[in-house]
Amino acid sequence: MAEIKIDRELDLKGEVCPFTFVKSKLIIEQMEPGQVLKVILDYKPSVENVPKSMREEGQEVLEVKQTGENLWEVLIRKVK
Amino acid sequence: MNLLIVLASNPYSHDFNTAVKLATAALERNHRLKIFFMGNGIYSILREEIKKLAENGAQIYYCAHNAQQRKIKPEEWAESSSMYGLSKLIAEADKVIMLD
Repeated sequence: MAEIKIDRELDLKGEVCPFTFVKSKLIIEQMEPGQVLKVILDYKPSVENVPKSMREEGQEVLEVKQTGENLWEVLIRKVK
Repeated sequence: MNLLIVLASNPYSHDFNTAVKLATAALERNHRLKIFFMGNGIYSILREEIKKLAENGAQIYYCAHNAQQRKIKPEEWAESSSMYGLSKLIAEADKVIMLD
């Protein structure tokens, strides 16, 4: 699979709900359709619910990947 | 009717009984019922009465953050949700009953 180009990165380590989604959404709003945001999370409930909420908002979740014992990356493509 | 009950009270409160009775009555009348558990209401999700409501057709949601805080792992029939999820459920519902 071709490497996905990341346009913005948001490090949300130490943040919990609902700030993980709110801060991700604020960055998405500043981006152009088609661009990709990488969100770094260390809080499991947010790993379940940030992608879920982003899909509800009409954005495309490309990948949810565990990168460490308590660390995850979520890739989101802005659709609208 | 699309009814949403939000329960934030602990399961030893009168609100818990109110929620169970309202929910049972709503299901008997064939209303679409969703129940959202948050705060100390999360503890209710472990109760047999709630499992029975889920088996009878109620859709059960919970705040994943509040569950994590209380070290509770709800069963598969309950759906992990969030404040964002709750805002969507409120917008969809015809009536919302908040017990806290």
